[in-house]
Amino acid sequence: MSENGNGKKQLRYWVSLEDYSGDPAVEKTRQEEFYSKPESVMDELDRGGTAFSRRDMLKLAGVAAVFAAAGCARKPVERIIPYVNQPEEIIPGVPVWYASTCGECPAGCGVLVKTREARPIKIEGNPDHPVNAGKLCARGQASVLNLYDPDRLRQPVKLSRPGGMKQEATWRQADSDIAQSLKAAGGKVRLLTGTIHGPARKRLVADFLASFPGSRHITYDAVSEEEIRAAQEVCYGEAVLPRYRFDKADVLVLLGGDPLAGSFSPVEFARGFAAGRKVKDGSMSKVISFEPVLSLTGSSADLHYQVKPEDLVKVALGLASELVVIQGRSAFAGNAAAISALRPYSAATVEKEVGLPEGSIKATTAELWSARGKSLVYAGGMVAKDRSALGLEIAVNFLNSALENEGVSVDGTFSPSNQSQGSFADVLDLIADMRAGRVEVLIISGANPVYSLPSSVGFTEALQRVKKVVYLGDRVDETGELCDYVLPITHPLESWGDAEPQKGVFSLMQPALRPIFDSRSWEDSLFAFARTAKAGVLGNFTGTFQDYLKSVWQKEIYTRYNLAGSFEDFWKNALRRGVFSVRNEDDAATPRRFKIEALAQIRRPGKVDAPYRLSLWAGGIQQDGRQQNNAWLLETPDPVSKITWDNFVSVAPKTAETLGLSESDVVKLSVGGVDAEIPVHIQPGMHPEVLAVAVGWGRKKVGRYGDSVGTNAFGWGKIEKNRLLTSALPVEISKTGKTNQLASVQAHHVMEGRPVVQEATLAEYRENPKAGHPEHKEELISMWKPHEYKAEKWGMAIDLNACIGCNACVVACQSENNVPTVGRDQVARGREMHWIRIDRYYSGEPENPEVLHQPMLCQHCDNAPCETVCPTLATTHSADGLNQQIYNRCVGTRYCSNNCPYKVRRFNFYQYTHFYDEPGQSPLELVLNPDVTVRTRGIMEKCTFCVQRIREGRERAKELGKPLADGDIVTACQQTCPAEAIVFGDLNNPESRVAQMAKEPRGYRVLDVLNTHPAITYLTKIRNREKAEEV
Amino acid sequence: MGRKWQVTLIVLAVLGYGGWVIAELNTNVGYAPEQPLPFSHKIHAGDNKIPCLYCHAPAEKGRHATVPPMNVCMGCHKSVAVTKENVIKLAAAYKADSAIAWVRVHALPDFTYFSHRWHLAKGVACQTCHGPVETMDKIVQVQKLNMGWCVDCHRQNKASIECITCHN
Repeated sequence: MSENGNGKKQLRYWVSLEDYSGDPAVEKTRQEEFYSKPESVMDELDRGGTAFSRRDMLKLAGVAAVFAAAGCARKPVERIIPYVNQPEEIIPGVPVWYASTCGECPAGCGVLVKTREARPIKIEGNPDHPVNAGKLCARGQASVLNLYDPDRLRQPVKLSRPGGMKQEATWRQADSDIAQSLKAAGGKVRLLTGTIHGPARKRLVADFLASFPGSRHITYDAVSEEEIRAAQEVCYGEAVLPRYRFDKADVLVLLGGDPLAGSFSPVEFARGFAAGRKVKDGSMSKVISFEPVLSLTGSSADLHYQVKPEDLVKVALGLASELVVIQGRSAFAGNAAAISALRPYSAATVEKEVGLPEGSIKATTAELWSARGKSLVYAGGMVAKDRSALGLEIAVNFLNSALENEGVSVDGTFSPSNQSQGSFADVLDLIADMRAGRVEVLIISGANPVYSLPSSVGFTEALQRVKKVVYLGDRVDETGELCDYVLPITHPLESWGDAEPQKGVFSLMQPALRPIFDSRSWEDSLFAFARTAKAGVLGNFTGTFQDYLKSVWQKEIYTRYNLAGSFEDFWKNALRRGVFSVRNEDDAATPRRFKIEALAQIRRPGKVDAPYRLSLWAGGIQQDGRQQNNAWLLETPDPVSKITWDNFVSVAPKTAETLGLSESDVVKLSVGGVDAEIPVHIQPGMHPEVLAVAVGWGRKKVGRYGDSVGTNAFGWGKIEKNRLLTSALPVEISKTGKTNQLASVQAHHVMEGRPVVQEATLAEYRENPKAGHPEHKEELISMWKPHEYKAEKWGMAIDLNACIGCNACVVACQSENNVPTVGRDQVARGREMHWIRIDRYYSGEPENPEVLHQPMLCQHCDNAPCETVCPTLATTHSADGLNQQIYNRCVGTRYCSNNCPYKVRRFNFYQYTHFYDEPGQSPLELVLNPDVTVRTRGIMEKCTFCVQRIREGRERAKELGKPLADGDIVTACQQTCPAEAIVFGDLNNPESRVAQMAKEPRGYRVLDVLNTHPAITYLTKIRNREKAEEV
Repeated sequence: MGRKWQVTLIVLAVLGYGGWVIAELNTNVGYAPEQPLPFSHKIHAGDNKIPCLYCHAPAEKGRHATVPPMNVCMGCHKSVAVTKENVIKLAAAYKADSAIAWVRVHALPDFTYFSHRWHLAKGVACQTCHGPVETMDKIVQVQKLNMGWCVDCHRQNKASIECITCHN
């Protein structure tokens, strides 16, 4: 610990356990110029060798001379191939935008698709969309890469079962074969899909089922929230998935849920969550988390308690008991049923049984009660899915009702969510039907049950009893290879479709380009089957799904809501805006009456009879694994562990010590006879008796990038009484003696213990708004003449309070700026190319540390240390304050990177982009942004503040003949940030948001003691606590 | 200063000058490749006085001037000069839905972002960079179009000479 300028003890931050314990290896890395060196030559030099002999040197010089001479030859002939008929809307070089709906998960966020010359190059959130309001998550941003995935299936395939011999098929052949089977099945038809909403899609499914009477539709989500729906039914009478309003929660208590990452509406939740975290008039929301695993949401909590997964329900009941029984508060005070159900869970008992600090339940209850009507208790996700999951959700509903949050932050009546509807019990019924021969035709779309169901449910075996299995998917994956037909579906960017993520919000999906491959949307495939079979309503419908969609929207929206104007106008407007909402955002939900008898359904929490229990979790990057061939996502670090390209088992530091495990050791985990090997990550903040593994990894048949990356954790799920348990699973752990080096990015750009992140508690902040950061008083003398900024001076402000560390900005930047992926081996060497990264710092003790996320990117310093050392003037300062990196001037000395105190410069050690133009990788090259240079080997690159977007903004203003206004230019990271933590703008304009934020007392500039004058202001992290010690 | 130094300096000066000369000579000035069809700008833009932007309309709206799409050619050549050999070839290609692969003459490196639009907006004549196109039967590059040449003009007209104006 050291004293800072305010005379206050400064927290010591650490990025890894090695760093915490002062491992000499970390110290050595810090002293090195680069995290890793060019391998062989430097190793040779290290050993005292000379690496090159004189002869080699001469040979190389000769080769270089020949190439240099060859370089002078005339450039190769370039061709210009014009359009034969140029589409009206296309002006080469000018983007065309389409409004659509993101199809990567059922959250149904609205997107705007940027196309250039009719090919999508970037996806951004649709600001008019009520769910995501212009923001997107990492997965949404990465969706455009899936479109160009070279491993997508390019034509229909027929397989012979079993054995999986593949042969090409024609659509006509497939359709007539399938239609015949459908006709012959006599209603023994099943349609298995992921969550579907949207009036036209739902009507289509209903019409398809009606065309083959007796058939059924089963919804299956690998990561589902069915306990929430079930508990809603028990407590309020209707199985709805409420819309949780994190924006209305001044006090948020999390019981094992991770709403900001793997949940059913992560962007919306992150928006609401972060809005409350921002300090307004000296106050901010308070987040208290009780969880077994350090989740992304938990990492932002003000108070973090570790609880075993099976104990979450006790905590919920303890809170309820304290509130209603002991303190006699809320409308349920004195209610005999409530008292008898809750009495056994007094705070003291629960605290003792669960291992919580004394008084923690009482304090939490007090916080909740003082914010009644403005608080929220949330539980959900895979970590909470143990035997007592239903009980936990009932207890949570009771708390929300008692705290008067029902109808305010929990909306179950006005605009509830449709975003997760999967039912595991229905899947089990389906499997039973399949086994018993009651299914003759099974059509699967948007689900990969062979991968994501535990093998103990016997789906694979049951599949063999089905006469005809049709898979509508984009590749022959784990499920596809066991089917009779795999019919390639279009990517959401190539498809028509609709969504109704929340009641009254109708979202439209329209194609931004024609299908690249010979594929067909799943909707059109259902049409084709019915039409070929001449069955029912669909059989007589002559148009495509596009026409059908339009007619359904006419009937179910335009006519139903009695809209003014012609339907064509309505339709055009809906297409242009991408969304039509009949939800009045000012209207509120009505509180429902909690049925007190529901409390009786909470079973006595059981014990897990094992020293360790396994919790599975779904992260925000891979989620259920459907995008595992996406290199952008594979290389996006897990927000908490900062590990890329693999999953791992998280083990608490104490547990690792007990078991003698070190980082990257491979262990065998055995859950109920299912064994798998997986590397260990020692994760601070874990409960010592819990092991945790992320699902969504370990796909076997996804493609060249994702195949066999990681371990499939879905396999450990356990079936009990028709329910899928993914938490509190008794697990045996044993060492294998092997290691598998995890590619973590956090130790790469070590900060030498300098005051890079700063924080204060809310109490300190109220006393002194400048709390947390040392006042930088004396102005150092500079060797250089200061720059003059006559017009704009671009700058940025980042609110560390708002940043939740989700990594959406990282992927947005990657998409906007053609940032290459480098692969696991290069990441392990510290050569990832991300221009913006989220540094994750821990402070406190490894058993239960505090976490701080800090986006780090080029600071565009006024006195930039990189500029002064570049021997070729490849990096210089612009008149509007940008630190410009000129690729064609750079010769790759890397002096700049060495001199950069922020470690934000990235060097192309290899030709990382060459995979874009390798023959087998097509059409991957189409994802490149034509407005940004594709960098080659041997040059340096870094954040440009999205200079192409600055230029675009300027040109737009010029076009409209207006001066540039604040907010006209947004960088890619800012554009997508669900937390709105990043603000970009003109520091010379005192009215601009960024200039206002730069002046805030909380504002500090990283390492400004070095007199670098960064253009980025960070706002000190404020923790909503009274004292620093209280953790 | 010792003799050694003098020799070194002279050698460096000669090498430097030589490098500059090579760079200046190694431009594409005079490049006039054969085109798949002998399209004459002299006939279209010179004799018939068709404005440049009639065919190169996107130059005013975006970065690229573009070679016009074939439907623009056919707009006139459906009825104009339909019996000429090359127009027949053009019409056949159009009918077959196959574009003509012209050879690019004026090319900037991929790391250079030049926008036709803003040069036109500032009143820069097409001929400033492309030469007297209206007199050319076959397009030839007349200007060097290298960085020094661009920057000279930017300096004279007090336009931005910030690196990222063209490079990002």
